Amino acid sequence: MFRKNKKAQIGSGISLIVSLIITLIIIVAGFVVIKAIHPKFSEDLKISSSKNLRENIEVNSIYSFLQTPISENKNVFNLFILGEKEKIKKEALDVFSIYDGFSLITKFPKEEMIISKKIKEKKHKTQEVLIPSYQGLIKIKLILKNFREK
Amino acid sequence: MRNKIGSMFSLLLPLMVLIVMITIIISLSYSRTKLESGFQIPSKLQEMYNKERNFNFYFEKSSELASQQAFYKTILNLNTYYCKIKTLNGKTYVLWSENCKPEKEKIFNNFLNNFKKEFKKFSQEYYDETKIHTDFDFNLKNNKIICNGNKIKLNFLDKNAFSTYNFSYNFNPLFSLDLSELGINSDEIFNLYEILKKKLEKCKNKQEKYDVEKIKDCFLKTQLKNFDLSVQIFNDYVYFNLITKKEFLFFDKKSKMEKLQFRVCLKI
Repeated sequence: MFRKNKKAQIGSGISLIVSLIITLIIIVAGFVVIKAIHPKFSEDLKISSSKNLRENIEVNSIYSFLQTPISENKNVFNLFILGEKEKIKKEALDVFSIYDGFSLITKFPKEEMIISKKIKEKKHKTQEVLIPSYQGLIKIKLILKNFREK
Repeated sequence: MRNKIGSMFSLLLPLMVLIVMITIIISLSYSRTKLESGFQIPSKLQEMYNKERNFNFYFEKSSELASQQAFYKTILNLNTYYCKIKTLNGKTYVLWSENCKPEKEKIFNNFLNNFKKEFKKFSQEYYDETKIHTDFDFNLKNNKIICNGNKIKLNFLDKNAFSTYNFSYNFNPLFSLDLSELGINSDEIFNLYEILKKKLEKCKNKQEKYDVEKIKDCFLKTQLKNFDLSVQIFNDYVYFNLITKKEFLFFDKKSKMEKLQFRVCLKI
C-alpha cells in the first residue's frame, strides 16, 4: 500500500518537473520567435528608455545630401550635414566615404543602385531626401547610422 | 483508496501545469501586443519629425534657388527695359532718363512675382512626389523674404488587438531667407536709377562744364552692394557696365553658375 502510494508520488513529482521544463522551453522559444519576427521590438524599447526622446531623434536624424552642382564643369557639389553634435560629425564623415568623388548625381540612377547595395551590405537605415534643382527634383538616399547600436 | 487519489493527483497535475502554461503564453503574447503598440509611437513620431525636417530643408533650398532665378530675371528685365538703346564699342546700353527709368514698384513686383512663380514650380514637384502640400505667403522686407506656410497635418494610425489610435502631427512651415547671404541687395536693385543719378549729380559737382576724368574717378570710388562698376564717358553720356560681385546659380536653357551683368547709360 505504502509502496504504491510512494510510486504515485514519485510519478507525479517527475511529471511536475517535466512539465515545468517543457513550460520553460516554450517560454524561451516564444521570446526567441517574438524577437526574430519583430526586430524593432528591442530597438524601440531603447528609444522609450531614453531620457529625452527629442535628443534621440536628433542623434538619429543625420542628413547628408548632395546639392545641385554649383559649377557645371567642375562637378563640385555643396554638401550639407544637418546636426549639431560632435559625434554626428564624425559618423557623417564615415557615411560620406561611401559617396567619395561626389560625381554620382551625373550618373544618378546607376549610382543609386550601387549606394543602395552598399547600404544593404552595411545594414544601415536609409531615408529618402528630396532636393530641388532647376532640372527637376533630385532624390537622394540618406544613410542613417544607427547610433543606438553602440 | 489512497492509491486511487495518488494516481488521480498524478494525472491532474500535468493538466494543471498545462493550463498554467497556456495562461502564461496567452498573457505573454497579449502583453507583447500592448508593448509593441506603446513602442511604435516614438518611432512614428520620429518618422513624422523627419518628414517635417525634410520638408523644411526642401523649401528653404527652393527659396534660395527661386530667389536667384528671380534675380537673374530681374537683371534680364533691366537689360531689356523698354527704353532707348545706345551703342558704344559695339556694345548696347539701355538709356535711362526721367522719362524712361525702371520704377521701383515695378521691379519689386517683378522680382517677387518671379520668385513666387519659381517657388511654385518646386512646390508642385514636391507635391507630385510626396503628396504633402501647403500654400505659402511671402513678404519681402529689409532684404529678407519671410516664407510662411499654412499648417501641415500628417496623420498616422496605430492599431492593436483592442483599439485603434489616430494621431495627427502638425507643423507650421515658417522660415526667412536673407537675400544678402546670396549676394542680393534688393533695395539697391529697386532704386538703381536713383542711386546712379544721385551719384552722377554729386560727381558733376553742380558744374556746368564737367571734367570727364573727375567723373570717372568719382564713379570708380563708388561702392555698390551688388555690383562692381566700370565707367566710360563719351559724348555727354556715362556708360555703366555693372557686373555682380557674386556668382549666381540660375537656369537659362541649362543650369549656370555665373556673374550677372547689365549695361546702362545716363546723360550727363
